[in-house]
Amino acid sequence: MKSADLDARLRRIRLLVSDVDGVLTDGTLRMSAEGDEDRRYCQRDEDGLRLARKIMGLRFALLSAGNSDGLLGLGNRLEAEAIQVGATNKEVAFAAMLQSLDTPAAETAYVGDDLVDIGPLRLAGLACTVCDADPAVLPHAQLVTSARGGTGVIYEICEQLIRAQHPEQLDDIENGKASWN
Amino acid sequence: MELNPIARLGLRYVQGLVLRVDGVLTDGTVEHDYRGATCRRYAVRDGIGFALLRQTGCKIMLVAEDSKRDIAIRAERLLLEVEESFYAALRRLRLRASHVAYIGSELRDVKALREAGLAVAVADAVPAAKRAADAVTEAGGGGGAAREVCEFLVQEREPRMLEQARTCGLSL
Repeated sequence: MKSADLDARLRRIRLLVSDVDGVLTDGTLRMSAEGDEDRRYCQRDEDGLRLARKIMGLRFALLSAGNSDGLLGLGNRLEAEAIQVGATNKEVAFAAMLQSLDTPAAETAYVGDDLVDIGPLRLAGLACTVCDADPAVLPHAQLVTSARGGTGVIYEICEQLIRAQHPEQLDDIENGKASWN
Repeated sequence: MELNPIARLGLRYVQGLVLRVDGVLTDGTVEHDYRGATCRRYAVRDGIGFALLRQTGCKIMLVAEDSKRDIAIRAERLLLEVEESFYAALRRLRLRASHVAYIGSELRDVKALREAGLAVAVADAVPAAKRAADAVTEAGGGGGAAREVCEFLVQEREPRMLEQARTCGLSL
């Protein structure tokens, strides 16, 4: 049973800001001998974003403490409006990002999995985390995904947002009455 | 991570953390790419543990016998240095074995585990390493074992700092 509070929060969201490691990935990275960081992403997340963009015009941005070319490549692939990497203080970086995107915190969802994400989670209108997040993060979130990091977390959040804002369109797709793309 | 009362006595002298890369920061596997270059997979959350522990003034040093380029680069990103052995790490840190905590997973770690002030084996360590250790982590190598030890040490050294990070967040 979804609480009225969560439902009200879900209905206000226009922008989703996501952490990368542990949310879009399982929290591991592979370091090559050249210093390249390879990460594994879940294709389903891209589908979720595309659907939410089409149905509700959801905006999307990335905020990571990490710093590698791969993160920029991912942001471009996911068509992120803003990609902030190397954010050593995510609370400050998140506030600056909202200002540059001209979006109030109340209309922004943030998803993150570790201690560095608590700052933005406390500011966001909807605080989301993953079921395998650091235990200290869980009390700060109103929405905990049943997906573990790297297995469709963004897809799950997008689905919840669409269901809260345009349930009929999701029903039509699920019943085969409307095409998914 | 449970600690017996005798090991807890040694804990108060700990001023540094020494840990092996293979099997502790990684799950012990090494990937060879098509050119024969080595790659290793790391848990990002371990990096946050090092940042927390460093803020308490604890020194940290990695051990890797044949320091490959990929290890050197990962260490550099974590702002850590790598030495070839436990003893080289102690010399570099200017600390005695009894003044450091050591994390290991393999037979080659047993001697260091016996000598360290606080000896920790990862959950998937070999039995001999676990027997030589004061404590065994819940997480396995490459799965956040180092983070677990870092948070344990931070809790012992600066409990209020950890509480602050858990309630208000952490900046690196």
